[in-house]
Amino acid sequence: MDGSHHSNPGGARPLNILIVDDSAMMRMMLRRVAGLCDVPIEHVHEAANGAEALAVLAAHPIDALFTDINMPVMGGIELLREVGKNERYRKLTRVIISTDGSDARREEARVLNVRLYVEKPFRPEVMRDVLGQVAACAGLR
Amino acid sequence: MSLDRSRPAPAFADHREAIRAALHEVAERSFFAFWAPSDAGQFAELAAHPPVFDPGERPPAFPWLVTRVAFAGAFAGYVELAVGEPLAHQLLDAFVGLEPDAPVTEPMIQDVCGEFCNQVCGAWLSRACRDWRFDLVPPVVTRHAPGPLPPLDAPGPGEGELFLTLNDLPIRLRLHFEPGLS
Repeated sequence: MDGSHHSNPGGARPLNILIVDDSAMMRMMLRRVAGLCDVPIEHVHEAANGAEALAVLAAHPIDALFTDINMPVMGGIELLREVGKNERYRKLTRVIISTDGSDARREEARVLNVRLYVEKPFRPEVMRDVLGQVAACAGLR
Repeated sequence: MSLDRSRPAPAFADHREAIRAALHEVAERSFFAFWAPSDAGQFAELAAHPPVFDPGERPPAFPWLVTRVAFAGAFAGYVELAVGEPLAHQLLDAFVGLEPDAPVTEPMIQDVCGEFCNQVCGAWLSRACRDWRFDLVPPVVTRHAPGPLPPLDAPGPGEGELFLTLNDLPIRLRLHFEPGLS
């Protein structure tokens, strides 16, 4: 799954992001919101679970990973553990987008080098702020 | 999933307001829907006689989509939401911002019903049980024929129902707790 946005008002190198969620409508919503934000984005890749996400990461340069937690086949926590084992992904910015905002999950995410944790439901402007922070983390702003 | 069966099952009454708040929050934030309180009688009436938005037209009875998300952690159970197809279409449109003539498929409708129920269940557990971790099972969506929904069995001791309207259309939530073995 792949798609492109070509919004680059600041002239910075655009972001390549990967959205991982088993809900195709959630991925569609996040893709749409990302396209409306004032952050340059080159490609929005999608995956329906952690296993698909690992394949996308292996095949494409990705700056930021946005993942849900509860998914079939491979969930978000297992995905983040696999990502953490691979030195190639040490600069990858990791973001969780989940309904699960428990303290236990947040601590688990912190240990797995998750930079930002977004709890569903969220207002679309939250994603704008998150993408701005992701761009800053990736050194694009 | 881990389930502590030594813990007694929670009572619906203890979670009624928390899950109602989660439903309101998800409806407003993710789906830009207006909610209003309702009850079983109004739900049955609206299901049998859908509201008329276009004067002079008698709308046909609509099919129902019943979505269930099971959860397990410190305790276990499921959240079930029943929405009519017209409301499901409105939720989809609001969630992803479809173009006016964009095709809508059955998988899209079922997906958005699943996401709606998933968000309600997750938001409720996160707010009401912040110290505990729960796992959610992917949503299961069942389509029912047009007309009134078959009546549910009377709620047992570990379950209860809420009714409200979203955008003037009826919605029913059932919360069920698996019995503990205290």
